[in-house]
Amino acid sequence: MISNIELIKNGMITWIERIVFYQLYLVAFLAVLTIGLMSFRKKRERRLENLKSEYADLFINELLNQGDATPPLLLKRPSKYKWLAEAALQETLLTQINSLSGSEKTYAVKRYIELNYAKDDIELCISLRWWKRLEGISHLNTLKESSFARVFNYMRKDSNALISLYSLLGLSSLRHPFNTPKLFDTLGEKVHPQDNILLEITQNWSNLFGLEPLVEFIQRTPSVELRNTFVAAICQLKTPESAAVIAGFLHQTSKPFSADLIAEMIHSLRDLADIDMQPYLQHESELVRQRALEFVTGSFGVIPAHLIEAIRLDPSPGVRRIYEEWAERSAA
Amino acid sequence: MNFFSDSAMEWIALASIVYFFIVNTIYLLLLMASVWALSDQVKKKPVLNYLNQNDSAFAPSISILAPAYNEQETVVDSIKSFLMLEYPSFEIIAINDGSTDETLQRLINNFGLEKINPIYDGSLSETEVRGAYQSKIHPQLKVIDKKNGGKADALNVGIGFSRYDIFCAVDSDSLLEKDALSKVAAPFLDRSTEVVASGGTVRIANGSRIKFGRVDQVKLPKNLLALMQVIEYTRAFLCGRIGWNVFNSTLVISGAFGLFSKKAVKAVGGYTPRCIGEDMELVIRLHQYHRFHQIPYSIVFVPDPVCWTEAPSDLASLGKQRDRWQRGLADTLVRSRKMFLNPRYGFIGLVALPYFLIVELLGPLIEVLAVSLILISLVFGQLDSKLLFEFFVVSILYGTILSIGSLIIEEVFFSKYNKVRQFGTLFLMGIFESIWYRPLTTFWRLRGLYKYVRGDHTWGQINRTGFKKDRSQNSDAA
Repeated sequence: MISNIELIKNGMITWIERIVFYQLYLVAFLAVLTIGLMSFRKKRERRLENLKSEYADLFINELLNQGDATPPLLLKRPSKYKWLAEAALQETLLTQINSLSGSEKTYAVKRYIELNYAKDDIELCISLRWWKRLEGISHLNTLKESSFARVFNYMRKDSNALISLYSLLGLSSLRHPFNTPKLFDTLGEKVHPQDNILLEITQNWSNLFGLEPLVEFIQRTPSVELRNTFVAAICQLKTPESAAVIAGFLHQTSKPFSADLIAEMIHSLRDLADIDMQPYLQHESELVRQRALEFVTGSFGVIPAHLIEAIRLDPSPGVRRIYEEWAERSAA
Repeated sequence: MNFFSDSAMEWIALASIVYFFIVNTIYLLLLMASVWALSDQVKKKPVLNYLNQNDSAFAPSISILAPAYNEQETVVDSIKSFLMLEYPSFEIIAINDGSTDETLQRLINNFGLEKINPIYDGSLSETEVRGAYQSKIHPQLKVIDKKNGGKADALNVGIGFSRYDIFCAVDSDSLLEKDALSKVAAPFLDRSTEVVASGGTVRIANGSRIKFGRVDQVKLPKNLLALMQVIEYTRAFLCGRIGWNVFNSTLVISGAFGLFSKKAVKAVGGYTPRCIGEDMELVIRLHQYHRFHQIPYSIVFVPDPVCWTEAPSDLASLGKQRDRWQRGLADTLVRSRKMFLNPRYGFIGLVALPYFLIVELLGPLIEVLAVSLILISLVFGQLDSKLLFEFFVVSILYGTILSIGSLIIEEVFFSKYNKVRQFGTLFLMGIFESIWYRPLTTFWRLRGLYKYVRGDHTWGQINRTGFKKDRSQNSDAA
């Protein structure tokens, strides 16, 4: 019997039939390949889960035996050729570090460093690939160890903004000479207004140095966007100290803020803030007028008499609605 | 007697073959680009996953906007799935777009809503807002009740009420996976360019088991039409969209699941009201605006985050959906006509938009014309029936290779349908897709094109049966 391949070689099959022939082989090959991959993936996932569970048990045993005179070190780093086991152990330790607290966390961090994973992370930090450097710095950030301050300080100059910010975040939480208010200047253009990171860094720094250095930075920075971004972060702190700082900024008229930000600033004020709202009740932005009126009626329950008529006839339905509600409450 | 002259017949045959090979070669190139892009993403996946799971510092706060018009069957499940998202900071704004069914009432009853008077920015929409509500149980959930104005208008109102700089537009008949938001927000971490939009994969939930507002067990639908859509969606999302993404030419971020920068959307004037294909139209306008003003930007498709949706499972509803999509495509392409073949708009103007015009919009017309002419020639004996049959087999196998290629991508990178039996079913259905399902969709697309030319710009209502729930959940609820 003559095979299809021989027929093609002998030119007895047309070109279109050849295409059909090769397509059929390709489809069959792809189908077998997919089924093979499916089975391989399932086995790999099962193995990874088992390894992680084994390592978690060993870690808990180590932790429980901490009181012993010579506690046994059950966790041992696998050979570098057993890459699945290596990855499972590192992942298990990072999971423990993230989920534990106090002395248990400290122990997990100690074991992570002892097993040389931190050293590997530092090596990742000098990789040419940004995602490798990010992996290294994010793992080190999880450890929150002062001994890595030098690495954070070095990595904050990284050309990748994300890595640089991550290093600053790591550094901002450490009590270390490298962590100084001067670092505000290095945040610069790297900050993205959408980041929650700014809030975290601001919180860390305000805990360590108070808000003064940040206020000073906002006063002297020429970038309007940066000023707006930092003021927005202070608004989110929602502490008495931050409300006082915001009130201070609202008093200033020399530094213009965007209407949205003014609205947010007024919204973040607390009842205790004593501030003249008149300019904001007459602000050109509808949103600012609404926020100002909301603040005035909510905090003090009184609208300056000479402004009542203007507010009652305000073109914004939102402003009028707040006024009407206040008037109803006052009448009652 | 010859119906066509021999030379005319040759030209028709040649044109059909050339069109067929060009289109399929583009598909094949897109498939190859997808594999390349995904293997690159796999390298970055571990670190991005780690950041998403363990650190909220980089996660931008997100407002989820869910417009709902007569979605009483699915809206509660969808909102529950949004509430259970694993994400550090988000709010949900459901917008009842003047529903005439019990959508609003069901939301009020299920989530303990009470009336509020929030401040909002009405610059994108002037449609009357009838009321705003906030959930007593889940304070991050707000519901806006407005007069009917269409999906685009509802989204514009939602943007006005949103607190955060990034919003996520979702459909109220969709379910998001718990980590979908973290994954779709990942491109916003990349600082090399300003990301203005990112979208994820939409998959078919029909047949899967839903538990507590989440797809608990992925199963294939028993309904044949829904099953075919599983293959179609897999191919469209994992082959086409990833492929276009390689060239920063993603033209569609699905209206069912997309993340947008509020600042960028406001800069282009928000969604266009009464536009049928509002999702694609907005994305093209974002491209247009940034390229025209030469602002560096990127619009990203992320294949990993998954949004589950209920696909139409009867011919009438599917037909309505497809003809609406086709009208939306036509409308969008007409609106963006200035970008066609304009070098200022780069790859989008020179390649992507012409592709969408010739292959996606006019494709059904070309296919029907070619098939009709070939059939006429066959009847008049001007074509060799054996050759025609072989060509037919080639085209089916070509389609099968593309489908199976997408299924392999799905298996290697995502593994949602991870049973050999499921793969076997999809594989077999992929072979038959070209025989009956594709002609059917071609007919609906052609009908949509005809309706658009006639000036029909209506949205149309699609029958929903609601997600299939796990029995234990039903009894718990009872």
